[in-house]
Amino acid sequence: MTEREVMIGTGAGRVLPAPENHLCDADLQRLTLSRRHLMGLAVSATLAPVAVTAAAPTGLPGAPGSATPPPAYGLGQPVAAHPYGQPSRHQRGLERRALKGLSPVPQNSASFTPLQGLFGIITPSGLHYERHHSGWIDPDPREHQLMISGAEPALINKPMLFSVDDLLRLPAVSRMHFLECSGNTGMERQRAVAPTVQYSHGLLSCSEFTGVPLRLLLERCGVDFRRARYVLAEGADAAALTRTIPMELVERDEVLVAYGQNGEHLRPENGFPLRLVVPGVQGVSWVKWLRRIEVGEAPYNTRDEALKYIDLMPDGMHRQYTSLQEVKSVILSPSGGQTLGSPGFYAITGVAWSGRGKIRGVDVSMDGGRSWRSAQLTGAVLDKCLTRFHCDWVWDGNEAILQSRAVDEAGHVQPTHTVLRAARGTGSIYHNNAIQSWGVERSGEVRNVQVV
Amino acid sequence: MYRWCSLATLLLGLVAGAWADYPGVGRPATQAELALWDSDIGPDLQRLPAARGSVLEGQAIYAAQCAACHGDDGRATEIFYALAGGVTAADVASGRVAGLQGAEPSEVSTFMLLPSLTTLLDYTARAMPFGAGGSLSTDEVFAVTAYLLHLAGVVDGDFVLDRSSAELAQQRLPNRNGFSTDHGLWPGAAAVDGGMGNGGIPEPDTVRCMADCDP
Repeated sequence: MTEREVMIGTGAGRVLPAPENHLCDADLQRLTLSRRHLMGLAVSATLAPVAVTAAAPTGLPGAPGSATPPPAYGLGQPVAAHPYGQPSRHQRGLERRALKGLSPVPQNSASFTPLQGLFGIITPSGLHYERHHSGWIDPDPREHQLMISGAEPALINKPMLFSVDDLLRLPAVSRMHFLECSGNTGMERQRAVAPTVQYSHGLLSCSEFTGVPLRLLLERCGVDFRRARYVLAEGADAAALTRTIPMELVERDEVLVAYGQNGEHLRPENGFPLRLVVPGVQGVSWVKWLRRIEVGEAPYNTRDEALKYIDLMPDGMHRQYTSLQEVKSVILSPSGGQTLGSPGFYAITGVAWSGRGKIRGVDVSMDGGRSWRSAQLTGAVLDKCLTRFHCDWVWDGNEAILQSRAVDEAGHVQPTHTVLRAARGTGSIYHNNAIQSWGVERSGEVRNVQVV
Repeated sequence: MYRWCSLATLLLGLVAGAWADYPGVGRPATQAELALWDSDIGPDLQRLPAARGSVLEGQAIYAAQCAACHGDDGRATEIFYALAGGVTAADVASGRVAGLQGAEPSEVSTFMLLPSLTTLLDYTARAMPFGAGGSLSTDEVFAVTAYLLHLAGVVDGDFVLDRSSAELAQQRLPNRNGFSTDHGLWPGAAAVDGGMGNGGIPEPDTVRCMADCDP
């Protein structure tokens, strides 16, 4: 049996995970070695354990001809062995990861959600992507307060301070929404760069958020909604990050002052004890560690909406206050870095989302965008929320290019790189919602490619 | 009878209104608290704080507080993007930085972008030096901003920044005319309704081709 047959034998019918992201260092080393087998490189005898594992496929549960007894593991762990539960030790490599070289300052950087290993639409809170501008903090909720004030006294009748306990007393709402950094997929604006979907699309997460509609608080303070058409939100981090929010979203009851995420309090990395929720809008506007809301008559032109988070156009002009996250989708499996174990059936699956509302449909192409099939939307289809799709596929072992294309309820169709670049050029690292392509090679290896 | 029903409705409404007030939740902020919390320097140049600072004063503050990360000339890029550089006298005159066309983000300095003086004052006051935001006095913020304006070639070495001179500096910012809100990505009211942008028109407009498509 050749090494290649060994590998295909063990991996038959399943998607082998990417050599990074899914795996811990030991797994990574093992898979790297396996890939050397695959490529026919010389392997020394010291690497025998890998070969032994791989060369005995009949010993694996479920392999043809194996006798698979029911598991008998003996007495297990006691209750509350982990008072706060943990993932299986077999999943310990599934974690958010930073990108080396993204920023020389780790407090002003980002880490990516391992989308390739998630199911459904909810991101576990501990895997939610991070983008901090001056590091994350963990304020004492007994001391933290939310100030609501006006740019001038006439705009607000009664400026107020709310404690976290105050907000917990008010009627709460819970809603599921995606949260995407506008720089997500920014690396791909000129060419395929990221090796895996974690790095190409992992500045994306989706959670159930619980909190109080901001409108309720502004009404309680007697805001003059006729004059105050803009909201400034400020965080308590060292960046004291501020962003301008349109009052229209507040009046539609979309904007929440949230304290809950996925059934528990916000994690500190996600803004504990309070963060703003601005559905459909880029992550930077969901101000974390929220400490102040000011209402004003004009946009605030702050650093993170005048020097950053601005979109460079080909003529050298910048678009300012680009806030919406437009219709977008990506296939999570199979995706970059993974390997198809053998020809046969695969369920292509991924997520779609739009800041303009619900997803109306997702199409999938296996031939690089020449022909398309409608995918099935599985599970809930919610407003400004991830929507899971899947599409059956029998891989015949030949080269293929997998793509997904989402359409939202506004009728906006996710564009190709070619169409998007024709409209906006390649200068902006923000708001790249182009169709993602995964190239499947005859070896089964899946790579990030672009069809242009 | 009708009148009594109306009165009952009115009374119920008052009770509901009282609930909607959520008595005991939150408390009015005092004037002192408002002043303490109001950290931002707003976008209106006419309402700048009564502060002043000269290029010369700013040079000393910059050397002590800023140069370690931003470099002596404001052009260091090892830790953050450059503050100064990439700007010409022609840019100062036109208000559009020519070097932005085709530029990579790593090649763009703060003064190649800066649309408004208040943006820089506000951010420096709240968030600089990195990790020690709020530690500079307002006069120091004005002084170091005056020095940066000088480093960027916007003002002369004898410039003093205060309320009266801010407009002059603003009118010389090299990229003051380099921004547009004419796009579909602002989720609030459109420009025609007193807001910004075109009201959310998707761009580019593509069709949902299913067969024989141009990839």
